[in-house]
Amino acid sequence: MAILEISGLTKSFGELRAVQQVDFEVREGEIYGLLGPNGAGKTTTISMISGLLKPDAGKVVVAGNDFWSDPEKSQRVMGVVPQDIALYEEISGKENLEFWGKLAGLSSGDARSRAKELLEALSLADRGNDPVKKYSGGMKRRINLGCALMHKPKLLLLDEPTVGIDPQARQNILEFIKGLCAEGTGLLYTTHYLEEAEMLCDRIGIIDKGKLLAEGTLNDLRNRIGGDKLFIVEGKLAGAKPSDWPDFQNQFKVIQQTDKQIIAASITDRHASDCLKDLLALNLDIENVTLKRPSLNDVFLQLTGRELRE
Amino acid sequence: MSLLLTLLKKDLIRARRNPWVILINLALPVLITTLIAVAFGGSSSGKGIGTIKLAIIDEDNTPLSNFLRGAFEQGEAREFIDAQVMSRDEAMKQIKDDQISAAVILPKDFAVDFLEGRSELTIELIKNPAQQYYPAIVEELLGVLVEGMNAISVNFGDDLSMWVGVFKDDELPDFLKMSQIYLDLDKRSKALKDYLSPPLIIYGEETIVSADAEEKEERNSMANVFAFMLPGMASMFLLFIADGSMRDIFKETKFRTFDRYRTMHHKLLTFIASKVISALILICLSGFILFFGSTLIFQFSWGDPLAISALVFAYAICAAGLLALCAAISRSEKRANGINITVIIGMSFMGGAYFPAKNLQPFISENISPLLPNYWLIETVRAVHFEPGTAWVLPVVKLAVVGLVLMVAAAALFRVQLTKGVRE
Repeated sequence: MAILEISGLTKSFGELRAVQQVDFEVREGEIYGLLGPNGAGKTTTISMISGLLKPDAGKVVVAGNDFWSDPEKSQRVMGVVPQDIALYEEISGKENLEFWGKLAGLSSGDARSRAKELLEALSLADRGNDPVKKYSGGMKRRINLGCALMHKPKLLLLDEPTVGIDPQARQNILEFIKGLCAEGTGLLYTTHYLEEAEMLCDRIGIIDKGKLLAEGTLNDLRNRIGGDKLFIVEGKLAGAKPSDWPDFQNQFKVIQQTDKQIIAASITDRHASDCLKDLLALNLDIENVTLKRPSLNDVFLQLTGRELRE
Repeated sequence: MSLLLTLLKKDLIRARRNPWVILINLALPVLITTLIAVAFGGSSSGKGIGTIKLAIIDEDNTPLSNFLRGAFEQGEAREFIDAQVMSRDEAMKQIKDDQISAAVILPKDFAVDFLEGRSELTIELIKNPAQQYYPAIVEELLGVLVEGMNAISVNFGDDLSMWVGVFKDDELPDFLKMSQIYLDLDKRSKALKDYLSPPLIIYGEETIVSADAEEKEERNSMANVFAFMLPGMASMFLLFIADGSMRDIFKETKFRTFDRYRTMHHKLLTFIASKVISALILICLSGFILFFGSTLIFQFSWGDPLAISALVFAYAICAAGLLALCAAISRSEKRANGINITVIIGMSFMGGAYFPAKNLQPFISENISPLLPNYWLIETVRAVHFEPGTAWVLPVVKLAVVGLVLMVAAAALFRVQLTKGVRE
C-alpha cells in the first residue's frame, strides 16, 4: 500500500522551473530513492511534500489524505530529516530529541523514554547529555535523524542525510535506516551518491533538471541500458561512425561516444568474449577495452548524456 | 498552550546555556541609567541634577549687569542654580574650597560697551577644576546667554545705543526715552510677526485654573530632567532590545530549526508567539530596570507606579509585535540590519524620543507623531508623572492592541512568504 503518492508535482521560482510534473509513490516498508545531481529538484520535491513549500500544481497524498487540504493531519504521520543539521546547538542531544518529540505530540514521559531508546540505537547514549555544539559531524547527523523518529512516523523523508560525513559514520546511518524499513516505515531518500542508492533503495527515481527521467528497481534501471554487459572502448575514435559498422547496431547499443571513448552495451545474450572479439575486429585504433556491469551512473549517462558525478 | 510552554522552555534552556546575550541586554539599561545618574549628579540633592552653586562678580554694577545677574535667579533656573553676588577674591576662595562650581565675571563698562556695540566684549567664566559636570553646565548656559546677547546686538544695534542715554549714574532712568524705545520695538516686533513662523516673540499670559495648584507646584518641583528625558530614551532602547530579541527568528532560520518546526503539525502563529513572548519578557525586565531601577539611583518615585508599569508592559507587547513584523518584512538578518535600524531611529525621532515631539516640524508633530506607539508611551508617562490624574488606561489598551495586531500580521506575512518559497 502506498504511504505517499505524488502526481504532477510542479514548482517554479520565477523563470526557474525547479520541479516539473513529477510522479512517484512510496510504499509501506519501502525505501524509495530520489537520485539526482545537486540542483536537480530533490530538496524542492521534499519541501513540497513536507509542507515547507506550496506546489504550483500537482497533488501530494500522505496515508490516503490530500496533504494540502489538511497539512497538519499529514504532518502527524511523517518525519522529516532535513539536509542541513536542524538542531539547537546550545542544548544537549537528549534535550533536542525530547523537545522535537514533544512537538511531535509525545508526552514528557514518553519523550524521555523514546529519547533514551534512540540514543542507544544511534550509539550516542554516552554523549546524550553533551551540548550538540560539541558533537562531531556524524554525531550531529545521527541526532538530526533521531529527532525525526521520535514519534515513529509512518513516512520518513530523508533529504541527503549523510552529506559531509566520513564513510564510517555514513555506514552507521545507512545500517540504521535499513532497520527502519523492517518496522514498516516508508522512506523517501534523496541522494546524489550512487552507491547509497544502489545499496539502500528498493526502488529508485532518477531526477534531473526538475524532471523524473526514470524509475524502478536497480535491475529495472540497468535493463534500460539494454543488457548486463557494458563495454568501454578507448582509443583514437574521432570520426568513428557506429552506424556505418556492419551488424554493430544489431548487437550493441551506444550509450555515450566521445573522440576518445565509446561506451556500448551488449543487447544480445552472447558471451562477453564473443562481443569483445567483434569489437576488436572493428577497423578502429583501439587502445583498451573494459567490460563491466552497468551502474546507475551509466543509466544516468544514458538518460542525460552526462555523468552524475560531473 | 502546552506547545507554547514547550517552545518557551526550550528558549529558556537555550538562554541559560548561553546567558551572555540576555545579561548584556539587561546590563545595558543599568549601565545607561547609572551613566545618566553620574552625569546629572545622582542623588546628591534628591532633585535630579541638584543645585549648581555659582558666584556672580559684578564689576560693572549697572542696570544691565544687574539684569544679567538676575537672569540666573529667575524662573526655572532658580531651581537648579544658586547664584550669589560676591567679590572676585571671595569667589576665588570659594572655588579653591570647592564650595561653588563656577564664577561669572561681568567686567567694568560691560553695559556701555554692549549698548554702544563695541567689539571685544568679554564675560569671564572661572570654572572649578575639582568638578566635572556642573561647571560644564554653567558654561553651556553662559553660551546660550552670549548667543542671545549677540542676536540682540545684531538685530537691535541701533536701538541699543539709545539705551545708553536712558541710564545715568546716580539718577533715575529717563522714562520718556525708555517708553519711546519700547514703542519702536513694539512696532518692529509686530511687523516681523507676519514673516516668522513660529513667531520670534510671543506675548503670553499664565492663568492658574486648578484648585490644587499648590500640590501641582510641589509635584513639578520634583519633576527633574531625568524623569522628563527617560521615557524618550527608554522607548528607543526598548525597541533595540525587542530588535535583538526578535532576531532569534533569523537564528532559527539560519540553523534550520524554524524549517523543521514548519514540518511539524503546528501553527506558525504559535512559534511567532513564543518568540514574541520571549522578547516581551526581556523587554519588560529591561523596561522595569530602566524605569524603576533608576528611581532608586535618583531617589524619586513615579507619580503613579501602577500606570507606569502598565504602560511599560503594553509598550513591550507593542515593541515585540512591531519588531516581529519588521523581521517578517526583512526576511533576513542582513536586510534587518538596515530596515530595523531605520524604523527604530526614524520612529524614535518622530515619536519624540530625542526632542519633545511638539518641538518637531509642525507636519511631523501634528500628523505623524500622534500615530506612533512610542509617542503614546513618552507623552503618557510624562503626563502621568507631571500631571496627576492623567488618564492612562486608553494608551495602555492602544499599545497592547496594536502590539497584538502587529504580531498576527507578522505571522500572516511569514506564512505567505514561507509557503511561496521566498527565502534568503
